[in-house]
Amino acid sequence: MTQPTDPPQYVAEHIRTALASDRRVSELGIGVKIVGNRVQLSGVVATPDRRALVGEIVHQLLPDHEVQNDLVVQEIAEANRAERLR
Amino acid sequence: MIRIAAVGDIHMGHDSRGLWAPHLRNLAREADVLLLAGDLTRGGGVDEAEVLAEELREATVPTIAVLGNHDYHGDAATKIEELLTEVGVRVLEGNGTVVEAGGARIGIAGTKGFGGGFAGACGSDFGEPEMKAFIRHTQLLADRLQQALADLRADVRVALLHYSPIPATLQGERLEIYPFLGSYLLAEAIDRGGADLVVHGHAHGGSERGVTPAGIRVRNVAQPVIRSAYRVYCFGDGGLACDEPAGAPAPGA
Repeated sequence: MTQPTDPPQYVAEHIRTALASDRRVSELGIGVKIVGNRVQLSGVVATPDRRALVGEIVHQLLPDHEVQNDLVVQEIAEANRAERLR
Repeated sequence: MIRIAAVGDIHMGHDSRGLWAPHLRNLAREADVLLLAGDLTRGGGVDEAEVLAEELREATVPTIAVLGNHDYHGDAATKIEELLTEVGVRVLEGNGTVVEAGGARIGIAGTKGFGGGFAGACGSDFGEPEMKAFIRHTQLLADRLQQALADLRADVRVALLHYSPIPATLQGERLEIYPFLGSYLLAEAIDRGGADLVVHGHAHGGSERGVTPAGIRVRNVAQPVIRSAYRVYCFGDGGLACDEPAGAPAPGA
């Protein structure tokens, strides 16, 4: 779907669409930015495996680009907290 | 005291097996009921729902869920609902249920909800069939939610949604995508039907707290927002002060 002459904005959206529709990851919230021959990924994913897989999928789609995988893995980082409502 | 645990957007897949169950084993010490606000699977796969159901076997309190858009993506929502039902989870869509806990009745009415945007900047039931179908779907779910809330006979009433009824809990998300994150029609239905608390998910980049136009508290419990296994909301006397760690002993207890 991506043509060699496509402006980077379109290529980035093609990548985002592919990440949403690829059932291995089904990721809708990934930030994709293309700068020169680098593709920068940002956002939060649920597991380390999904972070790696998103990087692999983007590499397969844009083999001539360097993938800068800045995705963060969601952690259950905080203790459960309670809020009193009344 | 009534203690309601809630979380959404846990996005379970094969790679998340075993990550969540350990947090559910002690749940009964902290809460009377667990609410799941949709997007429970990664992409709506039956295999993913099997992992989810297995994790939920560890839940030690009554568990009520709505599905989210991810759970519909695999066109297997009915099967996912069946798998959840088999492990004791009550899945709501346009209906309600009551959980009795500690002599009190906790009423929950649930719907996935849908998008359309918020007052002053929303889609209308106008134009192409596709656009009308979009808004009418939201209106239909909102109408059913309103009726389900009105029918609840309970000490505390909770509206459980996936999509957001208000823009305040979306703050942090890009303004351009608000119409895909929720609809004011849901808030209108909740304000008319009546509730003490609204919980939703869907907006990973949003904010936890807001209120409907009529003043009902809304909480975005998407896991990337609360960054914990679940959040606990308490009603009634005794127990926790605001923002204490869940499970802390009651003062003087």
